[in-house]
Amino acid sequence: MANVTPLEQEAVPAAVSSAVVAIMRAITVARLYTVSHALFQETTRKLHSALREAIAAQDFLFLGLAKEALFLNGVFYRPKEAHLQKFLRLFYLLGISYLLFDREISQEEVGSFLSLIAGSRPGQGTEISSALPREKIVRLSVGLLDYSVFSTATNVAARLARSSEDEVIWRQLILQPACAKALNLGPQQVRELLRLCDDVEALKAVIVELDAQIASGEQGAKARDLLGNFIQNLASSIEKVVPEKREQFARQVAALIDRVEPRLRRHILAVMLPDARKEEGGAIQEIFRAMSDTQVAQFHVDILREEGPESSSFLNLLRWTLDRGREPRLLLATIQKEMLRATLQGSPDDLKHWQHLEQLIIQYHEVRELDEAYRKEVASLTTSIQMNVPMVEEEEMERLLATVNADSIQTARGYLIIELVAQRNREQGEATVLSLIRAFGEILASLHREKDFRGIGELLRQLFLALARHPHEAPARETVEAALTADEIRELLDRLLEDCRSYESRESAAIAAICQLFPEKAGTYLLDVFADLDRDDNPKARWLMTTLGSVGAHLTRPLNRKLQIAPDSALPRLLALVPLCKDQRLSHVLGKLMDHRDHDMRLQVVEMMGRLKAERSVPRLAEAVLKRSWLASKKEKEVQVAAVHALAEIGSDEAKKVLTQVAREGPSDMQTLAKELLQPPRK
Amino acid sequence: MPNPGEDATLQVFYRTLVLQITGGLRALSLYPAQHPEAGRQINSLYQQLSRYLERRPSLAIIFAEGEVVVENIPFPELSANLRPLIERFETLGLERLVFGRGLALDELLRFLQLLLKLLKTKGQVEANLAMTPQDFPHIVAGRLSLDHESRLSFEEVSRALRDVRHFVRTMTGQLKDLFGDLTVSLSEGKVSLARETVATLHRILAGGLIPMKLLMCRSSPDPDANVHAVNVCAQSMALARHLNLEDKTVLEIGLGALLHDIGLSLPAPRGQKPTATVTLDQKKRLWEHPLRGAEILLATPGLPDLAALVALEHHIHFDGGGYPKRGASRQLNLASVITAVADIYDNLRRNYLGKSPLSLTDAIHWMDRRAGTVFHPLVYKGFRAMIKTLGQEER
Repeated sequence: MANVTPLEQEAVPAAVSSAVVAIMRAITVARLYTVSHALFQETTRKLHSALREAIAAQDFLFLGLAKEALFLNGVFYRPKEAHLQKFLRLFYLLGISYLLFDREISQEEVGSFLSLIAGSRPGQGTEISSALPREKIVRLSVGLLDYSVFSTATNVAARLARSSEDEVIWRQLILQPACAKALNLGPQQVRELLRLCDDVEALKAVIVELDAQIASGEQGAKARDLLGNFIQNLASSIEKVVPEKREQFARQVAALIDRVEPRLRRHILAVMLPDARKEEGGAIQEIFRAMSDTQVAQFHVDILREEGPESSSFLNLLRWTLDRGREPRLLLATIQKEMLRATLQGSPDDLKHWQHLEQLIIQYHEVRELDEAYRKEVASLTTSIQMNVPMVEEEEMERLLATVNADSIQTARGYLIIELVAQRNREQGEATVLSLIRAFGEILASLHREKDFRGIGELLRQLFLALARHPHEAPARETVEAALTADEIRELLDRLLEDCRSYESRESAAIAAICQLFPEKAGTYLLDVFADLDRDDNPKARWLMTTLGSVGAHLTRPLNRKLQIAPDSALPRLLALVPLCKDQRLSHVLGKLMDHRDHDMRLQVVEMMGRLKAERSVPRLAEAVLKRSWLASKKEKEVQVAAVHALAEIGSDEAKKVLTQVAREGPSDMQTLAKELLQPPRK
Repeated sequence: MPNPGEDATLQVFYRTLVLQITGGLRALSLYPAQHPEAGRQINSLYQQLSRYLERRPSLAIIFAEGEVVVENIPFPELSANLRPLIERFETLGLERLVFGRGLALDELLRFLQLLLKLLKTKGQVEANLAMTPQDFPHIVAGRLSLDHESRLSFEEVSRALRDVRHFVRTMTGQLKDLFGDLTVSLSEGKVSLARETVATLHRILAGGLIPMKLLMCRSSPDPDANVHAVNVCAQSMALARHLNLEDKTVLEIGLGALLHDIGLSLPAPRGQKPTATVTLDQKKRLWEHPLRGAEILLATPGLPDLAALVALEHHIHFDGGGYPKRGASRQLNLASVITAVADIYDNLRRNYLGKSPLSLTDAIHWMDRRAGTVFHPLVYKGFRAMIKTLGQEER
């Protein structure tokens, strides 16, 4: 196809140019007159009309804003007119890279947007974007993409296109949200779309290329929206030109998700999930629904790890999961299983993320329930008061009066502090946070004196979430930890554990949070409980194992002490905690336990030395494995085999040296094993 | 600058005028209108008034709470001497008497005759005058009308209420020290000042030294944040008293209400050119002031915890709306819901964020529509009852 559409032009279409003139004029007026002034109202009205004209028959008006170019319908315009240049410069300075006007935008929304822009400073693009919902502007969005996305989109489009007209289309498909309706596709472009629809490898190649280009940009996370734009636009375009291919394309996307590497799969899924509060998910919704609870849980923990609990992707995902039919109880049960698995595998970092996710899901679910209950209460109370029901009024007055009594105020103060800490205000310095946490500590101590253990548990659960990934998390946690003594924590946990029956997530959430915030004190107490268990296969034992695993790094001292005094019956389960401590100081006590009278115990001790990767245990293991005896029993040989494996697992130079020695001069049957283990692992 | 000599002359004139009015009423009660003595008294009063009205557009006399105030000058000696008459005026609903330029002798005579008749019988002065407005085009008499709908100009009302304003201004002058140079917490001195301010206001309100209705029902177009703080404090305490809360709680609520907007007193960021529109920085400050205020008050030793709670919650609506956004909807504190009513009421009645003040009626209508959503329905019901008690819904 011949190049007929210039990819760069100077003359911006008249309707858009007029709209831009109206925008600039209205911003000037907004700087000089208040919103109630007649002139402001009049200019807003004119701008609203100009925008409607520019949108014309389309659903949206998308204005891509680079420093010196306006991206419109796939074409870059480099205007000469002063008003257009000023317009581009203004939004460039604000850091806004596109404006997307919905055709249904109201005059009030236009007025509010003008006020926002007129009252903004350079660099406030992010704040403008987050102010939109607060100002009730819903039919206008602003983009904060890295400006390099324009070149990314241009590069990818140029590679995919066979002509400049093609290139215009590809650019729009990549850059412009919801552009399908506005596209005029020629036969060549329809053929290309159908090829992508039929050939999953071709689709994968395009997506991988786009992803690679995006990953090289500076703001990968936000630029990933392009992936979402692109796939959604492809789906809508196919639906427009060949409606019967819609479902096939959905299946291709599902197949594509299975074929790309996990990181890209997560990104595609995350960006393709539309806003759970507004839209139906189309094909992606089906994919999401088909995922098992384990896959969904894994998806959550990955996004949580990569983007954080406050990221829009994570919050949207949570809404999709919990507001759209997924049963929280089942999801939490899955998470508990994953936590146990991470514990047994000795992966404290994974465990930490799973625990965080568990608490977030519980909180989200609770908030939803509380909000629902509160809404009903509000409606019922308002009706009763309108109907002058004296008894309701008296009861409500009593309840209100109770809110000003000392106990209520103390608890309310605790929640107030949590709210302030959770704001993560950038200007909130460490000193302020620590002073708030100290005040919180006083509340905890006071509640403890009043024996309000449940109240303390709830407050600490909320605090745990507020501090997760907080800029001052470490010093804040230290300060909290000093608020209650070991004896107070022991009493608190003792009382809270009394109420536990099933140890399912919601029931044990407060205790889990306390353990995270007071790891050493809580760990010491829980170790005693764990050691005294009479069974290992009940929910309590599994919960204790996971919880102790999550505070493993703080267990060295108490575990060391406990391993020396615990009865034989408790030793196996205590030994299972050793790898989670990841502390070589436990080598000494393990060395002593290698002489335990019970053979199975000795074997477990040797295995734990390996899993602990305890270099300090190497001499002790060497001694066991190099011991030559004509009368070596079967049991001694089993210990030697375990010791060789442990040395291999430790893998340090010293351990390898011993293994080499064993391979050379150890007992004959150990030599073969040592040689095998010294071989580099096969790929 | 007012001339002290002129002030003294005026005071004598005002005192004489009030005595002439009472003298006129007495003469009319003893003699028919055509009697020379009655004629002399009424004529003399008319001459004095005419001379005054040639130079000024109106003359306002207030009879309220046992006091006589002429053109904002209180006359305690008259208050003592004329107590029975003032009390009788109050029962007739005669709290203000304004003579306007253009007053005729006949109009004055007919008004005094009507007043005398009412003094002897029962009935509301305002109601009776309202039935024949064409007969008294230059006289306004009745209850203190404190709104824009009154036939009095705003200047006249504000002049009559200068005492109240003076009081509010004195208070707000103190608050400049309280809210100035804010850091992360309030000093001991500032806490004492806040407590003293609240205690003084409470004493004044409880003792009726300044009628609550003046504080509640006058509009305060002054956008000054300190005036707003005093108004919200006074109105919150009045509402708390109306809800029969204990004095200790009333004072704590007052303290919270006085300090509710303290987050707005933190130094503003600089560097933006002034614009007519509210800037994004200002909006951000506004959205965040509950949090910043609560932080300051929590970090301040010696303040009750209620103050910080009020600072955080005073913009959160009963139905969970408003700001700052919370994790979950929670029951609000009584002190916060009381302050929220007073805060919004005062904001509606002042120049605020580029909006003109609403009249009392419009403000109440606006608030009525939001009972049960923005406002706690029971507390709002108390507020409405209080307004009614203050006599502002008689018309």
